[in-house]
Amino acid sequence: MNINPAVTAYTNLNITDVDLEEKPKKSSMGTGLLSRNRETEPKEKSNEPIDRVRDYVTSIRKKRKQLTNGR
Amino acid sequence: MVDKPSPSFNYPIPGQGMTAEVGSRPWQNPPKYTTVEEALEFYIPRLTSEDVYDALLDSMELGIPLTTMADSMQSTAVMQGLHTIDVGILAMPVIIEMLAFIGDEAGIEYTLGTEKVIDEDKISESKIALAMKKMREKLPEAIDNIKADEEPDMPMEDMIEDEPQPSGLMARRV
Repeated sequence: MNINPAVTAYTNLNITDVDLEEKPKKSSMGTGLLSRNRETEPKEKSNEPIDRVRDYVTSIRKKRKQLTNGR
Repeated sequence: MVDKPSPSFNYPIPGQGMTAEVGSRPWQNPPKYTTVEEALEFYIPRLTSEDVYDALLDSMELGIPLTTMADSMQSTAVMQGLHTIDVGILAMPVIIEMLAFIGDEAGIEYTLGTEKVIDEDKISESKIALAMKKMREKLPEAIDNIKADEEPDMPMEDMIEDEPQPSGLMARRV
């Protein structure tokens, strides 16, 4: 059975609803050296093309959800 | 014995790839856009341009899946030597999502093409087997009767086998 490569490429990004949720922004308070919220090391973000594509698709889908009010 | 597959004529003729000079085809030359971002910078303005926009909406209304549209767009670009296949495969999800955005914005009900099509008329083998098993448990006699009706005793035909004819030089000719 022939499967459209676009379907495979699109579905294999595995973008879940969790990725689409807006994360609350941290307040400027409590980011000092002794703060509990302080991240010890900044997370290294992968810069592979597939990860960048996932980010692009996620951002467009977020806009799309806003447009359709989460339908 | 395994059946031989029927010949298909939808393939290039052997040697067809060598009928043109190497590098004379667009896809044999270095691509114009080498990264996903460059390819998307080519696609996105085209998708939103006036002449393409209306055609896209018409195609969506006709029920053409967005995945099919994205695939044909990137295949055409590969043939034109704009980008490589791998850049096209990477760009496709963004194109599909952009098409979906355009469809949502215009209020068109489109088909994404990722939905699984379930044929309701088709009954799976396992369901048939399960139903047969249940029926056998409930009505064993009825099943036997059905089998008896389906398989009548066939009369054995007398098979006349041809005796091998001697074919040597000294054989008597008939």
